[in-house]
Amino acid sequence: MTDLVPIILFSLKVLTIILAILIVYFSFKSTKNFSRNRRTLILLEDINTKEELPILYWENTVGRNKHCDIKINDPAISREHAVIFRRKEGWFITDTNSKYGVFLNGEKINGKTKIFINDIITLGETSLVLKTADQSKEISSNKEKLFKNVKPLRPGKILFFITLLNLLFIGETFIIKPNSVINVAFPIIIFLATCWIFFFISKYLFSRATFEIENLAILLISIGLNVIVNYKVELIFSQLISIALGMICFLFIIWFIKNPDNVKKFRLLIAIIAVIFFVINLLFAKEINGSRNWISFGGLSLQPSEFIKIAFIFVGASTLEDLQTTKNLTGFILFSAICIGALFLMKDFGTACVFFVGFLVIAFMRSGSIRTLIFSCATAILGSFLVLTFKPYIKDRFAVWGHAFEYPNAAGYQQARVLSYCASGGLFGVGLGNGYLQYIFASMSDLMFGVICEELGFIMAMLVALTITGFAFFARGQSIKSRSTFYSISSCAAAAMLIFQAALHIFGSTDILPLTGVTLPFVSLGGSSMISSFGLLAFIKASDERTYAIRRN
Amino acid sequence: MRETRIRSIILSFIIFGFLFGLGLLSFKLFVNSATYALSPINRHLLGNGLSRAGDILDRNNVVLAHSEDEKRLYNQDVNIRKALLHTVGDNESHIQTSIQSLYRNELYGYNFIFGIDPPEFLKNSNNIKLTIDSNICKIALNALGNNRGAVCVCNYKTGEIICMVSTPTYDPYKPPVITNDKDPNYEGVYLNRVLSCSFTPGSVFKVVTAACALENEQDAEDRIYTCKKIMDVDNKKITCMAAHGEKDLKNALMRSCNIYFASLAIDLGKDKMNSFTNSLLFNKRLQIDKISTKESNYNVTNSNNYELGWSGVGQYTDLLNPMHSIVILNAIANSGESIDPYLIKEISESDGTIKYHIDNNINSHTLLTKSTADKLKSMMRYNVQKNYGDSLFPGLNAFAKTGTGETSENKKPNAWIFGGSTNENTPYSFCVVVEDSGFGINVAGPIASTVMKALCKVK
Ligand SMILES: [Zn+2]
Repeated sequence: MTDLVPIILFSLKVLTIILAILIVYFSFKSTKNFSRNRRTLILLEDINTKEELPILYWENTVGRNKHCDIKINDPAISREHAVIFRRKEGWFITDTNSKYGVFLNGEKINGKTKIFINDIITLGETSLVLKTADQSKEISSNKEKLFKNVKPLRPGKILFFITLLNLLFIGETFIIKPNSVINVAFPIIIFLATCWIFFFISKYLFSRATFEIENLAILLISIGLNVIVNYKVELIFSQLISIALGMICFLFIIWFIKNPDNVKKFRLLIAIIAVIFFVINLLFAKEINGSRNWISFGGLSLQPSEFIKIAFIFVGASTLEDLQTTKNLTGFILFSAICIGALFLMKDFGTACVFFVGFLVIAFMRSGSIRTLIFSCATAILGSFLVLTFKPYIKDRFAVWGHAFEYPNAAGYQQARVLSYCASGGLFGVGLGNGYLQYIFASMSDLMFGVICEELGFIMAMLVALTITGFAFFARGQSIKSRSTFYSISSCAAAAMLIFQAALHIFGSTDILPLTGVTLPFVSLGGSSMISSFGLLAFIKASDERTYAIRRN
Repeated sequence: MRETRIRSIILSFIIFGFLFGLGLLSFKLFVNSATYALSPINRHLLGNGLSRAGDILDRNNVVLAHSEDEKRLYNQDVNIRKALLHTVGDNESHIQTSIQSLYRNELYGYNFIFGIDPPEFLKNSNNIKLTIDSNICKIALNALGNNRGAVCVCNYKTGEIICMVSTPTYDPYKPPVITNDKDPNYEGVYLNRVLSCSFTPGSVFKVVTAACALENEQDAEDRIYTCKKIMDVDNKKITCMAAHGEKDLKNALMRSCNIYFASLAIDLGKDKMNSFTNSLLFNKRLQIDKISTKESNYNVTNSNNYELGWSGVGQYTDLLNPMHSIVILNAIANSGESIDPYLIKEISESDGTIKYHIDNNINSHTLLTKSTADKLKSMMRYNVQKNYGDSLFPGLNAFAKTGTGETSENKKPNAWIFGGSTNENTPYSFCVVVEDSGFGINVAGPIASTVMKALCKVK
């Protein structure tokens, strides 16, 4: 009988890995489900030439410029003349500082104006009539099916498999440490219950038809949570509370940004609150492990910089209409400079880098200016150079970069151990709770990737990394289908911040980049990080046009 | 929207950067996995960690180390354990050149797929069979007694290292707690003195100077210098044990005359001495299986004649590594062709499948011409006959040279002897060094004698 135990344990490890891979595969596959084909929403028809101009997107630029979504060859039309966009109430047109204005049924419009079918829009010397897509003479393919149907697993089923995965993890614990299985199983079951409640709230209260992104986040959390619970059960309860708060935060943000036009009313307020947060942080922070990025009141410790990530995206993203009317970035650059500067003062260089990447993505997606990119990077390099000159002790952090394994008992202590234990794990891991990396300082937050690699194996660790990559691919894929550039920009920025933070975590702890000590989104132990990861994910979810468009039937 | 979509390419750059990083990480882990996993910092390996490693056997299949019931067990004889500590290693990887440190990978059967702790049914530990004779090592350890020193014996026909012992040593079951680095009982205890130390050679280096003369000068054997006990070079004195008078090479070597070899080195000059010693593998680490030895030193590039003179008699900055001296002896004994010494005879899987066998991996270096090698051998043979007497190595027809390396004012000299047997059926070369002890022939001679007598009686 005892000879069977190692065989069962090994099969269990392999089974968990296969199940996790299938969950990730089917979740991403079903993001294609119900997704709209590229099809014409409405039409504009030139009154004189009878030429049809299809409107394909939720927000469209109109003008002479070849990059415009609706391009009209008329010298009297400005390069970027107007924006035609759709909101919940219907279609609108707005003049984006054109030279000669926009006329609706002969009257010059002022600001955002609602348009109806058969309205005549005059731009320059061109008059266009608005028609529904099925009035088209040219587009016959409109009879095609509205949605692709890829027959995926339904979200509930995937969540069921995630539940099963957690039970397999518990089974693994049962074999490795039979005595502690009750302690371990209890919090995991609470976690699973939370996930199902989250699912039902999302499905029935908010009538959301999709749940793939959430499922993937739950998968990542499951992997992290099972590692943490096998290390120290007492760490788990604050983590469970953070997960629940994160889910609430996720639902709230999606609800809050339902109407992108409303968000801009709050933008200044959010920016001011964020700056105040930083000021409070700088005044009252206590220094933990060399960075002053924690504030605590009562028994509660917070990392304000994590929440400011969300505010940062609110402040940065904007709708196409805004993009076309307010072209300069001064306000946002100023805000970013304050954020990144404050993080430098807190000595939280990892998070400063994450903000900087978020800034680059937002700045570029808003302006399209490569000059801005180069200028920002140059400033950043100069800034870092100055910091290193005036605060040379910071250099010590980077001293062993690339050679950490040669100083396993000095500055390369953590990285050398991560590498050693990653290699020890092999492809399938040494088993939950069987690792040694967990006993190294800050293992559950800063070295989480290594712990997963050691205990659950290289495949599982790569799957975690690829799932986060998947979020980013998804965000990029949605950037054209989104209901507004607000969603496109915010989801790309959020994805960039998530993936860059994962990069700093994974490559920092394995000595490919300097070690900065940031968490792995969703997986690492840490309440603030968990909540902000959910916050960032909400932007990615919102960019999916199915989130608001499709209702559960 | 289209423009926004195009601009989102910046996110793609970040994604591809990340994927590239993951690729790099996978590559780094895959290529270096054994180095990382088998590093001494890995706590999976410590203590009970070795419990999964395979056996280490000596040439006669005596088990030197094996694993049983989750424990690493060593030979039951405490003296064999101590004698082979530096060869086999201990649980904590203190001895970096030991088999248990360098061959962890093979002993474990580690691979990146199943990691450090594969399930029982996938375990694939290997056994390693050494060329060492544990019994001879034990005799060598007893002969060394409380001295700090090294004994090495090698078969110059095959390259097998028969005996390799370094003192001070300890029982791997009772590793010492060293509180004071200068504790003489444990000075350099973690170093294998045969492999990882080089010592001032003293007169044994005269063999090298003689070889340099034989390789470079036609009349080397007949060259005569006169020893008056003291010689002035650059207004400083090179001294000898006695006033030996007129001597040729053979007799100067037999008398171990400093003046003769100092004069010879000065006449040969820096360039010949430097280039010859380099061709004899001085200033170079040697590779014994996976073990990298400490290099021997000889460099007279920036020295004056006085220093060059002393360098010719094995003083100045000269340092000789015992394993390197074996390589030189192998060349002398084997007509100039030195078979590389080795320690690993074979590596086999637990089911007996042989993964590695030395027979396919023997290499050699031509270090000397046949005539030089044969002349050196006969001069050293003459030295044994006339100087020490064949009673030191009865029946071996031995050739040898002793040395007394002066180190510093407050320490006694290093005692050396190296040589070999010229018999066809006992083709062994040997080297003994004893630190901080006394004259080569008085201290090292008896140790070499005891070991060689035991070895050749066994045969
Ligand atoms: Zn003399």
